[in-house]
Amino acid sequence: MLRRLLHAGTHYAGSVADAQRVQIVNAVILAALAITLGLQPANLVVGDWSTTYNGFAAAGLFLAAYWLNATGRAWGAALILSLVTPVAIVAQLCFEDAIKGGSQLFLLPAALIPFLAFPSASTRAATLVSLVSTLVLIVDVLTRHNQADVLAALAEPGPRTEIVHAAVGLLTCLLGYFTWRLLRVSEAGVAREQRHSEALLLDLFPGSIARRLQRRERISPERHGDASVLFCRVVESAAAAPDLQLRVLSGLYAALDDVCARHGVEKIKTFVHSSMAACGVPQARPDHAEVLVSAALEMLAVAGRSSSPVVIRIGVHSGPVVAGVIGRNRYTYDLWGDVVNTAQRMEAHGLAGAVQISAVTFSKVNHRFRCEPRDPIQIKGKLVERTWLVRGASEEHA
Amino acid sequence: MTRPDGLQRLIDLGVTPETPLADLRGIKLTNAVSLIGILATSGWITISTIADINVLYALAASLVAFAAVLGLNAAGRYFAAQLTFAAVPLLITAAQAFNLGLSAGIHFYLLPIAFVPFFLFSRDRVRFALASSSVASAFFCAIAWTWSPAHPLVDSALFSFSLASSAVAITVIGAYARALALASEAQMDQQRRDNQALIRDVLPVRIAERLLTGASSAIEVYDDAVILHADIAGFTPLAESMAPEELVSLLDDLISAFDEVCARHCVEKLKTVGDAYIAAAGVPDRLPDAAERAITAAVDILAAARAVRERRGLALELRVGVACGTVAAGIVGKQRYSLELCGEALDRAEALQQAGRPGVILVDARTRARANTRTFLAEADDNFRLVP
Repeated sequence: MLRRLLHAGTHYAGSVADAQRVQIVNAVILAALAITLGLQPANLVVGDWSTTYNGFAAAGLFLAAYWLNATGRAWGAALILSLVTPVAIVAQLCFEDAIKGGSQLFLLPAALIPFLAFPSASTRAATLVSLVSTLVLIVDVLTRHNQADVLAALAEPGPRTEIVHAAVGLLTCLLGYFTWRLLRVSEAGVAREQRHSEALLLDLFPGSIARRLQRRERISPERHGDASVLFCRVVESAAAAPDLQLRVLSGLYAALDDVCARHGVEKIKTFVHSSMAACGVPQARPDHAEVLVSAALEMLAVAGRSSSPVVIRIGVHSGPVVAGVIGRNRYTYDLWGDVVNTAQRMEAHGLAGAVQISAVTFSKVNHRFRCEPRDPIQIKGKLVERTWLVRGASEEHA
Repeated sequence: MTRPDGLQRLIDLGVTPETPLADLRGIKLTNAVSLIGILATSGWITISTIADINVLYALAASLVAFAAVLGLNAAGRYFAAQLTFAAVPLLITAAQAFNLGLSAGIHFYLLPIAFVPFFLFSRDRVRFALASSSVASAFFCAIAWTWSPAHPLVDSALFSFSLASSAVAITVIGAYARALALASEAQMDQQRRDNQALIRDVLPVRIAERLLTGASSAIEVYDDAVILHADIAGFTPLAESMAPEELVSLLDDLISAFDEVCARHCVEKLKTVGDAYIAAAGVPDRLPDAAERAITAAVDILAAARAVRERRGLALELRVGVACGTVAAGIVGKQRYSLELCGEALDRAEALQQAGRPGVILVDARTRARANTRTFLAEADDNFRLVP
């Protein structure tokens, strides 16, 4: 029952935060209503009719605010809730000359209520309404002829002043806390989605490239003086039907992607049975060849270990490449250049279950890996190249 | 709302493009309020009628604290700045409120100080906000309860002024803090939308939507997918005569033109592999007229390549193969994924492309049967040459 009362009107709210706002305003209104009506029997017993009238008037106002909130007019409810205090103070000042025990001080927390109660889209209205409370206080305090009266009324020693101060301090603290709660609700929702989209983007592009794409920069292809490129191809797989093949590839590429991530190798792309990775782009690093070759050895091992074992062969070559993003849609961070073509040939002419490297790469990794020379092979009819097969890490690095 | 450039720069002190959005609100708020604090404190020092050395010390200390907040933000020590901002003015104000007594009204400044911490600290540091806010609130109450004797130099005008100015501070800080909070939220939301737009550019829309809603993408089988495989004849000789950067910029021209053709005909671009361009019709959205779309796209891609050739004055021509067959499609792997296809039609499209001559589109029998409105010429091996 209480839940239903608190949730009245929340479905009209445009956002999670505004829905929570409606709920908080409902709670405040219901509490105020209960307190106002609860005090009336005592007033009736004493026979204080003017206070009773005021009490019922306030209760009527709170009911109206609740009705507005429940019917989707959160703006109106916020207005009533924010103006109750300044209007009551003005009324008191008009009808009674003396200020009773400094109830004006409640105008200070009252100036915070609009920031809590008004919907997210109405910040300007909230500020204007907050200004009403502030102005009532300023006009009251600064326009009095005798400043000593103000001091006497608001800082008069006695329990009334003490209680007013305690209530004002507590209210300010509470209003701040509830404002924070709202802030957290809306920020958390937006932040969660933002993080999710950010994570997806970082799956799709290297971090530095993703940042630049977010800033709407064009990633014009640029030359990287020294990097290593790896091609990997599935040469044997038990699966026959296309969807089974794709399932096997899915498992394999997930495992290979983990290897890349662990070694700090940049996965570039896959195309059916073949995949491409690189090291030294987009961030240059001096040990790109060693890192890529050690990742390649682990890829061989991982491919054999996967749930549906496949045989892969790998080729690596090093040198200058052009890297960047081209095209209008479905673009990726890609590499081009002779080094890329040669790396692919290293793979194409390699052996199943082995990592074949070019002479350039060999000169960079020779000190760390045991490499076995192959007979010179002719590649695409144009070059006779010496290549090496990497057999493992050399003893002192094992 | 436009602010003078210099002021904006002071408020943004310490904000860099790498600053997390969650911190932005705290940085701007501390900077802005510290600037106001420096101005107000300097004003107090110059017009102060209270010849009490303790008051002057306190004012000077506040000045240093506000300057330190600006300095810490500028140095990127955001949390230290927030802590300084939350603690130092609070302690100085409380000390002065006790020093000058209730009738000075200084304790009213503790109310905005009790409110502001909730906007100051990032979402996950509410304990700091609660602590400093409740300390400020407790001091406020304590001053009313302890009845420290009025300072001889305090007059009632000071009380009224303190009360009025703290009321103004509450409204100003409340409005500014709320505006900042909403702005940082809006900025975060904008970033999310930008990211999502990028992801929709990069992945097929249907798959992008699935991933964005947190669902994983399943592998699906398509019986009549039509694969288009295009290769730029004459690219390899060009590669030997051009600088690599120039070559890639030429490739960018061509690929961008092909991308536009594909987008126009709802043909899904799959990959570029060097100078080869691979696209598919009927994947991942099943289309009844996939064959027709693939062929139209092939014709238009040929024309697009010719337009680039005319513009650049280069000897370029496309070879295109189009084949229809059963494929499986899905997102494969964890990183740098794109729509991956598997099936013999891919190999057949590539073989057709390689078998054809430059400027020719070779189509397999299955595609031809599905797009029989066109004129085809029979080729060897049951394939057909398209006559546009």
